[in-house]
Amino acid sequence: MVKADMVLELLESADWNYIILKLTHYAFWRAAKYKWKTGNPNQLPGGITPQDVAKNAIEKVWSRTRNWDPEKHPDLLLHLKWIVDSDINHLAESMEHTLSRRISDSIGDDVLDPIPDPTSSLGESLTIKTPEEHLIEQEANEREEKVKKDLDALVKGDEELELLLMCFEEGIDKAEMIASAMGCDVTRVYSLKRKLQRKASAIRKIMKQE
Amino acid sequence: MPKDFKKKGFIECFSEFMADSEGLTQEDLTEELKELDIDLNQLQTDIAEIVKCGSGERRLSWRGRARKQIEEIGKFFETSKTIPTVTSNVKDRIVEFIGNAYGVGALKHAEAYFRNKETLSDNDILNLLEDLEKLDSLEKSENKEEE
Repeated sequence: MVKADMVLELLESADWNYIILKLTHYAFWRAAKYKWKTGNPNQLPGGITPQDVAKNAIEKVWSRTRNWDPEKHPDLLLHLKWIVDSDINHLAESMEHTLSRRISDSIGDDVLDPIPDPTSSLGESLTIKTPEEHLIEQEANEREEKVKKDLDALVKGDEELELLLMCFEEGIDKAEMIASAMGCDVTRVYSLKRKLQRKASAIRKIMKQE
Repeated sequence: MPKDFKKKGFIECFSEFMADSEGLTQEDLTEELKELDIDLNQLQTDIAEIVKCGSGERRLSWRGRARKQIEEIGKFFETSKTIPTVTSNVKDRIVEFIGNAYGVGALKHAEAYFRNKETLSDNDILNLLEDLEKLDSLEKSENKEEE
């Protein structure tokens, strides 16, 4: 009972006007990670938009559908972001299942023997992929290469932005780690983020792969 | 680094970096969302509504829990809820219940409360429980500060 009062107090005192801005921003960029059947990361399956996903995350915390325990996870925004990630992943996975069902229907069940993964050693017997998984992976790899190439072209001539993209190629995405890799202060990395933000319209077209 | 460590992909890194609002001001975010044709006033109105409804429901839910406790106490009453006609045995059982639910510290408060009452309605018990909740909450936060 006491904890419920504390949680209620924390929720009521949160700056929801600012949280919804950050969370909607987050949802848009996380949705941009995927290639959607709609062709537009601003239009997710079922007519849902990223701002709907953000609103639903907040509703889930209030309704306790995705309960928040501040003792375990003190950062409310981080908890909300997890919900957004989970919901967007779920939408993307349901889309992939629809794609693989379509492929199965067109190929026919008799040709669905899994293809052995040639890169796996004899000891790793659990890396066999189905034709659908291969196709999905192939499409994902092609998209990855295309997006990388188009973003490189977008920032060409700006040495710092080119270095930033190289950090992403190396699997580095946290501002502090990027700053360390680039040998600069983290505030410089934030400036580069704002620079990319100003190119958001062009970046969104690249992510949509139009 | 573990052998099977999988490096994050380029798009994953890019999307995570851009999604993180650290380093962006409220104006940056507002500008961006306006460019996406999002009606920010409507969005904030919707959130205010969610917060208002959610807050109301949580408060009602507390009252619901308190009512359940009242029902537990109610089992100790026989036919009348008037303290002078209630046997001291029943009063002792209520006090014992409160001691178990809220601890020894709450007993003094409950005993003082009963001493001043000639009759005891559901609302009186609800008010008592509310007081005990606040006391309990205060004690626990004081204990936390001392740690």
